[in-house]
Amino acid sequence: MKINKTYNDNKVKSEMQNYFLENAFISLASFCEDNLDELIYSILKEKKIENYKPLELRRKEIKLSDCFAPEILKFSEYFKSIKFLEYLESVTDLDLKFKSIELNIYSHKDFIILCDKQEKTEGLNVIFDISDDWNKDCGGILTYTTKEEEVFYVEPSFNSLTILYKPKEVMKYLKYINNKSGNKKIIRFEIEFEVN
Amino acid sequence: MLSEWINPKYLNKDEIEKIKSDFKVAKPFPNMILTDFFLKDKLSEIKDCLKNIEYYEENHDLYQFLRTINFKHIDDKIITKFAKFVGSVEFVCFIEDLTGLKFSKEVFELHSLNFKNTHYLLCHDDQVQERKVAFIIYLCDEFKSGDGGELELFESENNVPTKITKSILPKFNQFALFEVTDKSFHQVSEVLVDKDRISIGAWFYSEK
Repeated sequence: MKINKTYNDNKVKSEMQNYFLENAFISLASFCEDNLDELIYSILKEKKIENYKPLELRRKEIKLSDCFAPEILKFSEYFKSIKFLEYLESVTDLDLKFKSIELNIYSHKDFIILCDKQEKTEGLNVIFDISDDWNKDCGGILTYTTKEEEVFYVEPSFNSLTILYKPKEVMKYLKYINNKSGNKKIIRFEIEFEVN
Repeated sequence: MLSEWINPKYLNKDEIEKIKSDFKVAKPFPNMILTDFFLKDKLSEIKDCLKNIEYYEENHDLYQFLRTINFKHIDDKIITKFAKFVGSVEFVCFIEDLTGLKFSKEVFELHSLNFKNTHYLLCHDDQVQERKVAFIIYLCDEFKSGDGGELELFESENNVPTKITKSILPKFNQFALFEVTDKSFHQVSEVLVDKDRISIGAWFYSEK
């Protein structure tokens, strides 16, 4: 997997680091230079687990441990690699340890709600998004929030990488996706890292 | 006073006993659905009156809909009269007779909700602040299958909701009531059409 050359340029990287240190997040548009059509095709073809827990979430998950599609594996292996971890460390200036990776698909009627079961841990959340063109009136906005206020929003955006530092007290929910979304889908690799 | 508001059918002693015994064994948790509950003209008057009352958007992880403030704080003759009736000892005792439960005679909450296209309320159990029963009075025209907006009741195992086993389509002058317990998981499915799903929602609380 090739990442956009711009994001490897030392001057740009230093600007990215400053931005991250100031804002605790950064979103990188046009992140990957590969053609993503084949990846999306493979994902849509793959068998999915319907995960519906009424009090927590509803979404479709692709179990990466049972997945043999080369295009999907190419991306998931990259996101688990030392190379990617080092890249994130250089952008965030954090000491990281890979924790988990998920490949999720969200469509009409899907959601994540705030619940007590949600892990309250500090970490770095990384989202590689390959969603359809999205209108935020359809719902589907991933919202990071404390008890007092909403602190950060991730909107679906094709070929973007969002890197976000999540303090312990911050939880997240994905706004219910309503019927205006039609057949559109949010597709994401969601990767978590521990902060040492 | 009851006869000024409630369909006489529901004031009959035998009918009350039947509703009470059905309520106790209703699945997936105690509930009742009564059609043509109020006198039609009275409810139509309230429906008309609500057209001039402001609704505010409620929008969070669990829900999105429009809601008025508590009827107790609305400055309108008709709404105030209705709120006084719902809070009256006579009406509270009537609901006690229908359910076999006991409620506070002082505290209740009453407001109107409007679910428009795309609005929803996800699964929850309503268990806050000593709520004992929740009830809904539908003011909208009849919803059809496929319109969404259904009140859906979940069966549960070990206090975790598992599947929807009862769905109630809104219909003008339908009264839906359920007991609030650790099993009363319910939701309002997303409204899928350009219709206003207007209702009045209320809670009665535990007797202190």
